[in-house]
Amino acid sequence: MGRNEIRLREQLSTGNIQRHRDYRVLMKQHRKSKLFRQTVRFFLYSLVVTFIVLLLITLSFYVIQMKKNQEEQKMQERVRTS
Amino acid sequence: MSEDEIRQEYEVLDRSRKKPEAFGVLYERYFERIFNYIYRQTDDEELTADLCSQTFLIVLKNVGKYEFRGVPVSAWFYKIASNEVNKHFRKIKSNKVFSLEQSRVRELIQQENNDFEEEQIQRLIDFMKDLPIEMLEVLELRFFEDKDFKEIAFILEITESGAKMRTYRALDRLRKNFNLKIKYDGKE
Repeated sequence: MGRNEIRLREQLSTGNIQRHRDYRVLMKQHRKSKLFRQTVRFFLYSLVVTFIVLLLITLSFYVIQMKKNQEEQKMQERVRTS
Repeated sequence: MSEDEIRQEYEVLDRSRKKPEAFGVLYERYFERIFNYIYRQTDDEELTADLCSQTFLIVLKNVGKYEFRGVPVSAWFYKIASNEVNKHFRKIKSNKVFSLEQSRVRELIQQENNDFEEEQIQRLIDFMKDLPIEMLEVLELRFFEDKDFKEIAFILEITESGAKMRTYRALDRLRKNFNLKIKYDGKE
Protein backbone atom coordinates (compact mmCIF):
# COMPACT_ATOMS: atom_id res chain seq x y z
CA MET A 1 0.00 0.00 0.00
CA GLY A 2 1.39 3.40 -0.99
CA ARG A 3 1.64 6.07 1.67
CA ASN A 4 -0.97 8.79 1.67
CA GLU A 5 0.20 12.32 1.22
CA ILE A 6 -0.88 14.31 4.26
CA ARG A 7 -0.04 17.96 4.65
CA LEU A 8 -0.73 20.41 7.41
CA ARG A 9 -1.58 23.94 6.40
CA GLU A 10 -3.06 27.17 7.58
CA GLN A 11 -6.78 27.70 7.08
CA LEU A 12 -7.71 29.40 3.80
CA SER A 13 -9.02 32.89 4.41
CA THR A 14 -12.64 33.59 3.50
CA GLY A 15 -11.39 36.39 1.24
CA ASN A 16 -9.36 33.93 -0.78
CA ILE A 17 -12.37 31.69 -1.24
CA GLN A 18 -14.68 34.60 -2.11
CA ARG A 19 -12.37 35.40 -5.01
CA HIS A 20 -13.60 32.24 -6.74
CA ARG A 21 -17.27 32.60 -5.91
CA ASP A 22 -19.27 34.01 -8.82
CA TYR A 23 -22.83 32.89 -9.33
CA ARG A 24 -23.30 34.95 -12.50
CA VAL A 25 -20.39 33.17 -14.18
CA LEU A 26 -21.80 29.83 -13.08
CA MET A 27 -25.21 30.64 -14.58
CA LYS A 28 -23.55 31.80 -17.78
CA GLN A 29 -21.61 28.53 -18.02
CA HIS A 30 -24.78 26.59 -17.23
CA ARG A 31 -26.74 28.34 -19.99
CA LYS A 32 -23.89 27.79 -22.43
CA SER A 33 -23.59 24.09 -21.67
CA LYS A 34 -27.40 23.70 -21.78
CA LEU A 35 -27.46 25.34 -25.23
CA PHE A 36 -24.63 23.07 -26.37
CA ARG A 37 -26.45 19.95 -25.13
CA GLN A 38 -29.68 21.07 -26.80
CA THR A 39 -27.85 21.70 -30.08
CA VAL A 40 -26.18 18.29 -29.97
CA ARG A 41 -29.52 16.65 -29.12
CA PHE A 42 -31.25 18.49 -31.96
CA PHE A 43 -28.50 17.46 -34.38
CA LEU A 44 -28.70 13.82 -33.29
CA TYR A 45 -32.50 13.75 -33.53
CA SER A 46 -32.34 15.31 -36.99
CA LEU A 47 -29.81 12.70 -38.01
CA VAL A 48 -32.01 9.87 -36.75
CA VAL A 49 -35.12 11.32 -38.42
CA THR A 50 -33.23 11.79 -41.71
CA PHE A 51 -31.99 8.22 -41.52
CA ILE A 52 -35.51 6.88 -40.88
CA VAL A 53 -36.99 8.96 -43.73
CA LEU A 54 -34.27 7.75 -46.11
CA LEU A 55 -34.88 4.19 -44.99
CA LEU A 56 -38.62 4.55 -45.59
CA ILE A 57 -38.05 6.08 -49.05
CA THR A 58 -35.66 3.28 -49.99
CA LEU A 59 -38.07 0.68 -48.67
CA SER A 60 -41.04 2.14 -50.54
CA PHE A 61 -39.00 2.32 -53.76
CA TYR A 62 -38.05 -1.28 -53.26
CA VAL A 63 -41.67 -2.32 -52.66
CA ILE A 64 -42.88 -0.38 -55.72
CA GLN A 65 -40.17 -1.94 -57.84
CA MET A 66 -41.10 -5.40 -56.60
CA LYS A 67 -44.76 -4.85 -57.43
CA LYS A 68 -43.82 -3.55 -60.87
CA ASN A 69 -41.74 -6.63 -61.52
CA GLN A 70 -44.52 -8.93 -60.35
CA GLU A 71 -47.01 -7.18 -62.63
CA GLU A 72 -44.64 -7.41 -65.55
CA GLN A 73 -44.18 -11.10 -64.90
CA LYS A 74 -47.94 -11.59 -64.77
CA MET A 75 -48.35 -9.69 -68.03
CA GLN A 76 -45.70 -11.78 -69.69
CA GLU A 77 -47.36 -14.97 -68.45
CA ARG A 78 -50.73 -13.78 -69.72
CA VAL A 79 -49.21 -12.99 -73.14
CA ARG A 80 -47.58 -16.40 -73.25
CA THR A 81 -50.77 -18.26 -72.33
CA SER A 82 -52.91 -16.27 -74.79
CA MET B 1 -29.91 19.81 10.48
CA SER B 2 -33.59 19.35 11.25
CA GLU B 3 -36.06 17.48 9.05
CA ASP B 4 -37.80 20.78 8.24
CA GLU B 5 -34.57 22.46 7.13
CA ILE B 6 -33.75 19.46 4.93
CA ARG B 7 -37.22 19.71 3.35
CA GLN B 8 -36.88 23.46 2.83
CA GLU B 9 -33.58 23.05 1.03
CA TYR B 10 -35.04 20.31 -1.11
CA GLU B 11 -37.89 22.66 -2.06
CA VAL B 12 -35.36 25.27 -3.18
CA LEU B 13 -33.63 22.64 -5.26
CA ASP B 14 -36.97 21.54 -6.64
CA ARG B 15 -37.78 25.13 -7.66
CA SER B 16 -34.48 25.40 -9.49
CA ARG B 17 -35.54 22.58 -11.83
CA LYS B 18 -37.73 25.07 -13.65
CA LYS B 19 -35.93 28.23 -12.65
CA PRO B 20 -32.14 27.69 -12.35
CA GLU B 21 -31.76 31.20 -10.86
CA ALA B 22 -33.44 29.90 -7.68
CA PHE B 23 -30.39 27.75 -7.06
CA GLY B 24 -28.42 30.86 -6.02
CA VAL B 25 -29.45 30.48 -2.38
CA LEU B 26 -27.93 27.00 -2.14
CA TYR B 27 -24.85 28.09 -4.09
CA GLU B 28 -24.18 30.95 -1.67
CA ARG B 29 -24.80 28.70 1.33
CA TYR B 30 -22.58 25.82 0.32
CA PHE B 31 -19.88 27.29 -1.92
CA GLU B 32 -17.36 27.81 0.88
CA ARG B 33 -17.91 24.38 2.43
CA ILE B 34 -17.60 22.55 -0.88
CA PHE B 35 -14.55 24.66 -1.73
CA ASN B 36 -12.88 23.72 1.55
CA TYR B 37 -13.81 20.07 1.11
CA ILE B 38 -12.20 19.96 -2.34
CA TYR B 39 -9.22 22.03 -1.26
CA ARG B 40 -8.54 19.56 1.53
CA GLN B 41 -8.11 16.87 -1.13
CA THR B 42 -6.11 18.84 -3.68
CA ASP B 43 -4.10 21.51 -1.84
CA ASP B 44 -4.25 23.59 -5.00
CA GLU B 45 -6.39 26.72 -5.00
CA GLU B 46 -6.84 27.11 -8.76
CA LEU B 47 -7.60 23.43 -9.28
CA THR B 48 -10.08 23.60 -6.40
CA ALA B 49 -11.81 26.59 -8.00
CA ASP B 50 -12.17 24.63 -11.26
CA LEU B 51 -13.45 21.47 -9.60
CA CYS B 52 -15.81 23.46 -7.39
CA SER B 53 -17.34 25.26 -10.33
CA GLN B 54 -17.56 21.93 -12.19
CA THR B 55 -19.36 20.44 -9.17
CA PHE B 56 -22.03 23.13 -9.15
CA LEU B 57 -22.43 22.90 -12.93
CA ILE B 58 -23.09 19.15 -12.61
CA VAL B 59 -25.58 19.86 -9.83
CA LEU B 60 -27.45 22.30 -12.07
CA LYS B 61 -27.32 19.91 -15.01
CA ASN B 62 -28.72 16.99 -12.99
CA VAL B 63 -31.09 18.86 -10.74
CA GLY B 64 -34.05 17.31 -12.59
CA LYS B 65 -32.86 13.80 -11.77
CA TYR B 66 -32.29 14.34 -8.05
CA GLU B 67 -34.52 12.25 -5.80
CA PHE B 68 -35.14 13.11 -2.18
CA ARG B 69 -33.69 10.43 0.10
CA GLY B 70 -33.93 12.04 3.50
CA VAL B 71 -30.40 13.48 3.50
CA PRO B 72 -29.63 17.20 3.08
CA VAL B 73 -29.10 18.30 -0.50
CA SER B 74 -25.60 19.33 0.54
CA ALA B 75 -24.73 15.61 0.83
CA TRP B 76 -25.46 15.34 -2.88
CA PHE B 77 -23.10 18.29 -3.53
CA TYR B 78 -20.39 16.58 -1.48
CA LYS B 79 -20.93 13.34 -3.38
CA ILE B 80 -20.52 15.08 -6.73
CA ALA B 81 -17.48 16.98 -5.45
CA SER B 82 -15.93 13.75 -4.21
CA ASN B 83 -16.54 12.09 -7.59
CA GLU B 84 -15.03 15.05 -9.42
CA VAL B 85 -11.91 14.95 -7.25
CA ASN B 86 -11.53 11.19 -7.76
CA LYS B 87 -12.05 11.61 -11.50
CA HIS B 88 -9.35 14.27 -11.61
CA PHE B 89 -6.79 12.14 -9.77
CA ARG B 90 -7.60 9.11 -11.92
CA LYS B 91 -7.07 11.26 -15.01
CA ILE B 92 -3.66 12.51 -13.93
CA LYS B 93 -2.81 9.08 -12.47
CA SER B 94 -1.86 10.46 -9.12
CA ASN B 95 -2.92 9.91 -5.51
CA LYS B 96 -5.18 12.18 -3.55
CA VAL B 97 -3.62 14.66 -1.17
CA PHE B 98 -5.02 15.24 2.30
CA SER B 99 -4.29 18.79 3.23
CA LEU B 100 -5.55 19.36 6.73
CA GLU B 101 -6.01 22.64 8.55
CA GLN B 102 -3.49 22.77 11.38
CA SER B 103 -5.91 24.62 13.64
CA ARG B 104 -8.67 22.07 13.06
CA VAL B 105 -6.33 19.14 13.80
CA ARG B 106 -5.32 20.75 17.09
CA GLU B 107 -8.94 21.54 17.91
CA LEU B 108 -9.97 17.94 17.43
CA ILE B 109 -7.06 16.43 19.23
CA GLN B 110 -6.93 18.83 22.12
CA GLN B 111 -10.57 18.40 22.98
CA GLU B 112 -9.66 16.45 26.06
CA ASN B 113 -5.93 16.17 25.89
CA ASN B 114 -4.24 19.50 26.48
CA ASP B 115 -0.74 18.06 26.75
CA PHE B 116 -0.55 17.28 23.08
CA GLU B 117 2.75 18.41 21.64
CA GLU B 118 4.15 19.24 18.22
CA GLU B 119 6.06 16.00 18.08
CA GLN B 120 2.93 14.03 18.72
CA ILE B 121 1.10 15.90 15.95
CA GLN B 122 3.90 14.95 13.58
CA ARG B 123 3.70 11.35 14.75
CA LEU B 124 -0.05 11.41 14.18
CA ILE B 125 0.41 12.74 10.64
CA ASP B 126 2.95 9.97 9.96
CA PHE B 127 0.51 7.43 11.30
CA MET B 128 -2.31 8.77 9.13
CA LYS B 129 -0.11 8.37 6.08
CA ASP B 130 -0.44 4.62 6.47
CA LEU B 131 -4.17 4.53 7.10
CA PRO B 132 -6.25 3.09 4.24
CA ILE B 133 -7.67 5.87 2.09
CA GLU B 134 -11.25 4.72 2.85
CA MET B 135 -10.67 5.39 6.53
CA LEU B 136 -9.20 8.82 5.86
CA GLU B 137 -12.21 9.73 3.73
CA VAL B 138 -14.59 8.78 6.51
CA LEU B 139 -12.55 10.58 9.17
CA GLU B 140 -12.41 13.69 7.01
CA LEU B 141 -16.17 13.80 6.51
CA ARG B 142 -16.88 12.98 10.14
CA PHE B 143 -14.46 15.28 11.90
CA PHE B 144 -13.69 18.03 9.41
CA GLU B 145 -17.10 18.37 7.77
CA ASP B 146 -19.25 17.31 10.75
CA LYS B 147 -21.31 14.92 8.65
CA ASP B 148 -23.47 12.28 10.30
CA PHE B 149 -23.18 8.62 9.36
CA LYS B 150 -26.23 8.70 7.10
CA GLU B 151 -24.72 11.51 5.04
CA ILE B 152 -21.29 9.87 4.95
CA ALA B 153 -22.91 6.69 3.67
CA PHE B 154 -24.72 8.66 0.97
CA ILE B 155 -21.61 10.62 -0.07
CA LEU B 156 -19.28 7.61 -0.23
CA GLU B 157 -21.94 5.25 -1.57
CA ILE B 158 -21.58 2.78 1.27
CA THR B 159 -24.04 1.55 3.89
CA GLU B 160 -24.60 3.47 7.10
CA SER B 161 -23.27 0.57 9.15
CA GLY B 162 -20.24 0.48 6.83
CA ALA B 163 -19.59 4.17 7.54
CA LYS B 164 -19.88 3.56 11.28
CA MET B 165 -17.60 0.57 11.10
CA ARG B 166 -14.91 2.43 9.15
CA THR B 167 -15.00 5.36 11.58
CA TYR B 168 -14.89 3.05 14.55
CA ARG B 169 -11.92 1.10 13.15
CA ALA B 170 -10.02 4.26 12.24
CA LEU B 171 -10.57 5.77 15.69
CA ASP B 172 -9.70 2.50 17.33
CA ARG B 173 -6.35 2.47 15.55
CA LEU B 174 -5.72 6.08 16.51
CA ARG B 175 -6.66 5.47 20.12
CA LYS B 176 -4.43 2.40 20.39
CA ASN B 177 -1.44 4.27 19.05
CA PHE B 178 -1.95 7.69 20.52
CA ASN B 179 -4.11 7.34 23.57
CA LEU B 180 -6.43 9.99 22.15
CA LYS B 181 -9.79 10.77 23.58
CA ILE B 182 -11.71 11.67 20.42
CA LYS B 183 -15.16 10.22 20.82
CA TYR B 184 -16.72 7.91 18.26
CA ASP B 185 -19.60 10.31 17.60
CA GLY B 186 -17.20 13.26 17.48
CA LYS B 187 -19.10 15.17 20.15
CA GLU B 188 -18.30 16.01 23.72
